[in-house]
Amino acid sequence: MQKYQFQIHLGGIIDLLSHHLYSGPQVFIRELMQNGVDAIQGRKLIDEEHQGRLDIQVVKATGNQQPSLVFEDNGIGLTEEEVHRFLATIGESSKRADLAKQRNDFIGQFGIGLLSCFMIADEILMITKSARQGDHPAVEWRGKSDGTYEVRLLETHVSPGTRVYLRASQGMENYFDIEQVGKLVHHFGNLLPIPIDLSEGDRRKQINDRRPPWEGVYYSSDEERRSYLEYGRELFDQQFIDYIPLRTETGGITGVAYVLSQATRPKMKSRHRVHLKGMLLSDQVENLLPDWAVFVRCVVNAEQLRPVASREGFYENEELEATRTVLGETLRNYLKGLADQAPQRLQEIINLHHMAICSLASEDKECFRVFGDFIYFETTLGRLTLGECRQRNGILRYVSTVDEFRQIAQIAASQGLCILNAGYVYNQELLSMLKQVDPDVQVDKLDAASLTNHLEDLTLDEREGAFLLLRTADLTLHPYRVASDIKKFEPASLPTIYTSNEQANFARQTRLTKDIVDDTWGGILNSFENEFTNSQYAGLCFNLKNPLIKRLTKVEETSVLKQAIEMLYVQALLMGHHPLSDKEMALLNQGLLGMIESVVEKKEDPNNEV
Amino acid sequence: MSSDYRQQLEEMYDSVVGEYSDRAVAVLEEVVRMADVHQDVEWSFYAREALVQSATYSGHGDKALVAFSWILAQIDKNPEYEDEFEMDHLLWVYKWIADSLLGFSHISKAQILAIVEDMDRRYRKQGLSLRAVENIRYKVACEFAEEENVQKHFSRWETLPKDGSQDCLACETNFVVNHYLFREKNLEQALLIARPLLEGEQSCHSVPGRTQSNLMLALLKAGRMDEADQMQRKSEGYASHNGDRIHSAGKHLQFLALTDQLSRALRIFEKMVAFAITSREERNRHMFFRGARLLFMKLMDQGHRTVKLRLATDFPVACDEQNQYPVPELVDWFTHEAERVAHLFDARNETVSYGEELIEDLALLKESYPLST
Ligand SMILES: Nc1ncnc2c1ncn2[C@@H]1O[C@H](COP(=O)(O)OP(=O)(O)OP(=O)(O)O)[C@@H](O)[C@H]1O
Ligand SMILES: [Mg+2]
Repeated sequence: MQKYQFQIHLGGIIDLLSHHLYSGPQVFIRELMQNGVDAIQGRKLIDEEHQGRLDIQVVKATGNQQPSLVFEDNGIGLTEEEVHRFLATIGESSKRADLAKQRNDFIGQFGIGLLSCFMIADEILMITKSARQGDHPAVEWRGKSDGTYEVRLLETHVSPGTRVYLRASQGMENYFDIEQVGKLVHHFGNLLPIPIDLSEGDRRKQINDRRPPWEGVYYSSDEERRSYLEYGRELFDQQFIDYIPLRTETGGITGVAYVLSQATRPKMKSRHRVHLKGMLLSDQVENLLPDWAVFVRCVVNAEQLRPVASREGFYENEELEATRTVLGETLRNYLKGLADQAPQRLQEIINLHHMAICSLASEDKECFRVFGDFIYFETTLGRLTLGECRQRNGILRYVSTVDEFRQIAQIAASQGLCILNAGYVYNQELLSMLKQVDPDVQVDKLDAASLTNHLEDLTLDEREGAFLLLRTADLTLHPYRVASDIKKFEPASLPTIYTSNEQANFARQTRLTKDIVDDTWGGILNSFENEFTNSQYAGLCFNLKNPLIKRLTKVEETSVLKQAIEMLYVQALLMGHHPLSDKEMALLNQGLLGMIESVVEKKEDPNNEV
Repeated sequence: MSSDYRQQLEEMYDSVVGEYSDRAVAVLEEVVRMADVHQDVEWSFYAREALVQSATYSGHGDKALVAFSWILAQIDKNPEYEDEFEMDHLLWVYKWIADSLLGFSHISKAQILAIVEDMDRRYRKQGLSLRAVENIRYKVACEFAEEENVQKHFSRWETLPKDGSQDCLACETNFVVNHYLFREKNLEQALLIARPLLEGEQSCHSVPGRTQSNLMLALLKAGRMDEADQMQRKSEGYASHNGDRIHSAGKHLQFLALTDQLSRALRIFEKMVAFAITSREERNRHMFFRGARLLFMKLMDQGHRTVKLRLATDFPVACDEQNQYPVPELVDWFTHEAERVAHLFDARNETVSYGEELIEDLALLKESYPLST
């Protein structure tokens, strides 16, 4: 069978690579710098002493000439043969592993970066002179976006290195404005170890004249702190409360993690500014740190991680995974160090980034041991740290849902009982971690409904007195699936408590929903109600210490009692954040009207006491 | 009361959205209540939508169904919500809900058919392919043992177009695998079709874990022990993970009991029994109880009178201070439950298959299925 080769439509491929791989035209500056830096690195391999330099000139538009840019490096240059082989072959690169012994020396590796220039220019002109072969003449290469190119040898003397000339294509003039170029060069290249000069006419300026704080030498820790924090503030335009220097073998990371001064929320992602060998990859990298580490924002330089082809993020590979683990370790150690040396600051960080800290402590025994006591819980006595809770109580008691917590909060508080709300994320994990770390602590789950069992009972006489009230309540509330009870408890101002559990709540929700659905669904919800939820009663417990309830036990007229009970029930629902059904809403309305009426009647006839 | 509660809602919602657990369900129920109290329709929808998903994926089909029916009713009453709400997504979810109805013995056939009609009507109105509806009809026919209808709906289903409203690719493949496994009784063909699932090409929340759990039992019955063993080990992690997996967990209990790997079975039992006991998804729970019944019968056959279990305290069978449970009582309890529920389903379906399954289980227990070691 005859074999054919794929035919390639060059113009199409160039268009695809240049316009669709990268996030936007601005990356051509990065790609040119990258090639320059690699070329200088190549030259250093043959001449260690070589001082690299990048020079960028902007030439303003004149008359009908579009503005242009000249990108110059004093790197390794190319011979004619290399021009054909590397420059003009898409996907070929002098930096592939088998060609360059250490791929690690270079940033480039895909052999497509130069194509990005076609996003802003129709033609690339390059003049290059090889430093490897002194007698080889300089080469001029002219590449066009339709995929054709010309090569010509030059007779003039040119010093080793490469110059790239680009003239703005229609509509791309912006990228040739000196301000814009300056910004982009700074954006991508401010950490590059090679000086970059930008000039226009006789204006000239070094762009990357400032080194990052982790390269500095400091005489005092104050000075170090100031330098780090100032760098962070300028770079990210925000304040940070602390910094954590980062340095790892794996991935070859150096840099710093800044602790955010604004509260973070769970599942938020932190975006980091990440460089590869000094060149900015992206300031939106998300996969650098473990998931829990949302409370910091990093700027780092990596020497070894592998970029994806667009060079805007890292390849998710084992090395990145390992790097992430090591960085996570660093952050962990930092927090543990604080517990020892600056507990105040640790508390501050925990306050701001509570969720992140909880998530870490709920997974990691050692971390829990170190700062578990700093973590906050909502309790019936207010917000307390776990440490405070443990100091106060021999036994830690908690309820497992937010709803139950609300039911019991007021009573428990007035009884001086400390009960933890474990209805939020991580709470229960943290408590079970506590048990693992310290098997001697007793941690008990409490059921809201059973709390009323612990309240003070009535005397026999009192029971007798309350009999009619309870009986009437049972009859009145039966249609709402509520059972009544009576106890004595603080605060006396509270006439009733309404308790329900998961099942009773679900039963209630089913009934409410049944009211609004069509017949088909109504039948189904009905079956559910009968099957599972009919036996589920919520509870309404009266408080005999409450003056109103006390008075009600003296009332003998059941119609009055009934009305009062209905109102108390609706009030209890509202206090417990339970939506009302239509029937309950009607109770509320009738009750209110009744009250208004009796008030008005009283006014009209002052002798008429109810 | 104004925007204050909103912030609280958002915080609660953010803290659990995308999580599938009892706790997440409880928090979302609370969000629903709060939104309803404040008559915040937007959040009432939003929270219920999350609740449907979270409840479905954590084994609370009953809660999903109530929340779902509320959404449908609101949209019917206020057609203007239709534009704001992702109708396609809502209808996509409908198939979970419709499917789950089959698993409650107190829901009658007529009620189920009425829901399928409702689903059909809404799919048509939205201009969606009826592939998903046909899929449910097939499942209804299977449950009620209407053999001609099973074939009819399967053929129809095959010809209906995919427009994104159908199940995900992995679930659809799983569906076909099940057809060949349970209806055609053609293990070879089922394995062939399952290939993309088994090789990791297609997967989703419940596949291939569920597929492997089915295939392992079929392989066991065919005497292909090595393959069966492999399937079991691959899907054990899936089956011992969350409340929506008790059905598969039951199959694992059964498998491990039959192959005499009792301590492995007990580990799964300990992990999953709390989900099963509290679950209201009757058919799924039944599968778990069936497996547990075999497990404890096997223990009893081997002469164990008691077994040590680490369980949550609200287990229906009592233990002594050392966590020793009497095996005969466990056997009795699970047998009783399994028989009771089998009877309920057979009564509703006018079939005998649930009862027969229990008898067949006993027969299997008499066989021996040694694994080569
Ligand atoms: N300034 C330069 N000096 C010397 N050689 C250069 C220069 N610019 C490009 N080259 C050569 O052209 C080749 C192609 O460059 P290009 O930017 O397209 O790919 P690359 O840098 O190898 O990889 P990447 O696609 O990752 O940037 C390079 O491998 C290099 O050999
Ligand atoms: Mg390059």
